Amino acid sequence: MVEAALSGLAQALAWPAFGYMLLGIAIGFAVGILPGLGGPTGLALMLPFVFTMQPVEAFAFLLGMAAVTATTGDITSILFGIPGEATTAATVVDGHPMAKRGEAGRALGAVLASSLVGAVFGGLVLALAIPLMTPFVRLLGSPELFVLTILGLTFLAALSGGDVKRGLVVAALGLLLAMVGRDPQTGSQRYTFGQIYLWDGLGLVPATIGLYAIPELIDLAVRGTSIAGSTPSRLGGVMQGVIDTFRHWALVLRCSALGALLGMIPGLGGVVGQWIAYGHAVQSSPNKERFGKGAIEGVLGPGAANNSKEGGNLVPTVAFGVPPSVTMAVLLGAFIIQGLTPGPDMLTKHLDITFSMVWVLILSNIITVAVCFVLLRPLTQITRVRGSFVIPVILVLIVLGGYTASNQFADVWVTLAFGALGWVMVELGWPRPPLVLGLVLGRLAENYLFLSVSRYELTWLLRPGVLVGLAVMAIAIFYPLLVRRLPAAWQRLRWADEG
Amino acid sequence: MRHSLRGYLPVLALLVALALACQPRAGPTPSPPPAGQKPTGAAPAPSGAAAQAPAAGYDEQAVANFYRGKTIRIIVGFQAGGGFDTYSRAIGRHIGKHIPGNPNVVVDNMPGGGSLVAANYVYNASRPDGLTIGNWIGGLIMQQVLGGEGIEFDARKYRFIGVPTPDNPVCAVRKESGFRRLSEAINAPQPLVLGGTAPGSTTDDVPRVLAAALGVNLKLVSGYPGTANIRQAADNGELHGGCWAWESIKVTWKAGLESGEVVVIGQVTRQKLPDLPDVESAIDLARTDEARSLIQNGSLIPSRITRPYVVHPDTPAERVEALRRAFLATLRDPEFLEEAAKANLDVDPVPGEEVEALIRELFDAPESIKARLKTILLTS
Repeated sequence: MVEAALSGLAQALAWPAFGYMLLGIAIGFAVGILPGLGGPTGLALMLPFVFTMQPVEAFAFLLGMAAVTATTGDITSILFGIPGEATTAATVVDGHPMAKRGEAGRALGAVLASSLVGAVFGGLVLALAIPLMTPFVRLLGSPELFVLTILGLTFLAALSGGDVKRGLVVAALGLLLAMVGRDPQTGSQRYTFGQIYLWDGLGLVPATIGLYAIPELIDLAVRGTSIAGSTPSRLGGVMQGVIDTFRHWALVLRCSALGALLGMIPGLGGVVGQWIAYGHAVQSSPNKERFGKGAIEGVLGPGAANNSKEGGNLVPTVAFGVPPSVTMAVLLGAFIIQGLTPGPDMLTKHLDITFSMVWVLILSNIITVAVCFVLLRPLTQITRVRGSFVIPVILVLIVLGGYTASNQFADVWVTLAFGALGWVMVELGWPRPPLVLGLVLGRLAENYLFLSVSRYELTWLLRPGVLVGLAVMAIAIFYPLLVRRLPAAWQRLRWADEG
Repeated sequence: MRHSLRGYLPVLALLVALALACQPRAGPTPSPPPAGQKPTGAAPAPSGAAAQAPAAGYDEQAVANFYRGKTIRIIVGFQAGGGFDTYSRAIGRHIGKHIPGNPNVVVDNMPGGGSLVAANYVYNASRPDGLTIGNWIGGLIMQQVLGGEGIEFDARKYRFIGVPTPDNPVCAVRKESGFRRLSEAINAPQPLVLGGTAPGSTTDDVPRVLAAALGVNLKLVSGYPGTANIRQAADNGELHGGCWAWESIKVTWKAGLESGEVVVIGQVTRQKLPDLPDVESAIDLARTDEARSLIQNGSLIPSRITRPYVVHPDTPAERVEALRRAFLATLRDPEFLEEAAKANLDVDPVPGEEVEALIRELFDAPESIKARLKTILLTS
């Protein structure tokens, strides 16, 4: 165990893995800062480049990139009031008012320091979860994995950007698209229209690239400006922000824990944790009216949570191959490219690789935060590059990224088709994350359901793990209803008493 | 200029970073051997059908003149990093020096449709010049015999270079299953629960043939993403085990086999494997001619031609001959063998002539056997 941990550290620090991590950090830095061009897109675009790498190098590169986007995404959120990442939207609420008040430096110092605490916390959660995962994995058969994927689908409502009905419709579309291809059990063809390309289903990489990158590109082209229009406020008081982080250490740790825990739950792993952390920061503060007007706690909470989530995210990804976020869904592609099967092997045969991921999470955040403090001012320049210079670069990456997935030209058409779909969805205000997660979870869910029924017929429903999962699901679905109805019912009871 | 030049630097940095990341680590193209080195591919092959007299009109000089300075492309029908890819890249690194004229060799991946895309491509879209070698799964030949969908080639016309090693399927189960021998599962009251990946794969076809030919009482649970997941499911108690290549099982399930937790109950091979002298052979358990025929055509022949290397049907005969000789020479090359041992690749070549004979045997099987196999293997 200790040996694997040290071996993981040695491998993460060894050349060229360390070089790839620095490269990943550099790219993640830019990707995080650029609004719209998010972590999942960045990862999807870079995925083809890991074909020639060794596993530790590949994960140093990709995780180094993913771990950094949340940190640098916060910078854009604060300076411009535009979320640099989908996962840093909550930082805008209090961070941007601080910037407008001339406290940009303090807000940035706070968000960077809390990000570092969160990232280290998440890395430790992943490391500590490793010994616990082995016996846990033994308990998970196909029925339990089926329930786990369905649990992820249940939480899709939370990813719907406030519009649950639209979220469910989009998720259903994602599930439908997941059915394209030869069905894995009988080999029957579904929606393949005589195209051998479609036998293997729609590629996740071209679909994700199209869905996310193309609408941003169109938007940028239509606006004809640089990515960020406004200019940053003056900087200053960075150290004050760092001190704030340690003054509110308990809040930062609690929000780190929230982020890591929610990060493990499929569907909640991506963008949800930051809002719950923000909500917790508001709840736990004695004077709630300061929030939304530039309260430092409102920056610290999401800052910590959106970095600790990466460590939590990796737990189910590594242990079960169930990605809790879009980023991890893309990262799962890297496992396949590297010939690694997420699951018990990652905790035994490849334990050193798993540990190298822990180290990459921690090291890359330390490096990033250090660099951020040095480069706070020039950092903001990238978002001022004229759009006409950025568009060709991104366009090349989109086509290349889509095509390299399986070296078939049809991948480019899938990328463009999903790009059109993504653009329509953005224009009409439909949330995109449920589509990608539906696409990913749909295949897993179908496969595990078939295996469960084929092995156990209907008795799989009575397995303890399944019952617990179904109970959690029932609570997840009905809790919001109860919360809404109970106080009213309580009121009526009180009135009845008084009357 | 409103924008400062400094702003463009990150974009430039991104491009440079990309260019660096694009650099392949280990180039698939081997550097050509020094000029004047005598090609060893022309050495007479001592074993198998290749030991027969060279094909009429074989002119090594003409072949060398053609291949000199050219590049051969090996098209693998699966993703980089898989078993087929690993074999092809290892062969690709060494075969160039055994082909007259010492051409360069590159390996390309063309995944899709379980390698059907690659098989159709080499047959229909590659040039018949001996510069494109296809490597796809031999199960597709059985699909053609049985009338499966999407096949756009005729395996009887394809020219086969050879197979690096036959797959030797065995069935391995957890000891909790209670089964120690395959014969115990024949008409057993409780079914043997085996895992599969997809119809048409060894994991599915071997159990289906065993059930039909021998009356083994088994329940096939198919749809696992890979054999690793079948192993995991067996270790979790969801399955008893599964049937796939001994070459893979003995490496990946080593711990279980050594501790006695996992038992090999049967082998579906022509002769008993040297490692498994006491394990029952399926063909020995067959009681009727039909059963033997089903095992022969449904399992033994297909597993011998699982990993074929092929060229276009109209490739000139002397280049086919040169590639066959080079293929066998590569698989005997000490440098290749050392590399194969490191990568856990078994090497037991099946010459191209034998592959073509086996394919004719599959196509010439009695219609009644083909019809039985169609119901056994193609229906769910």
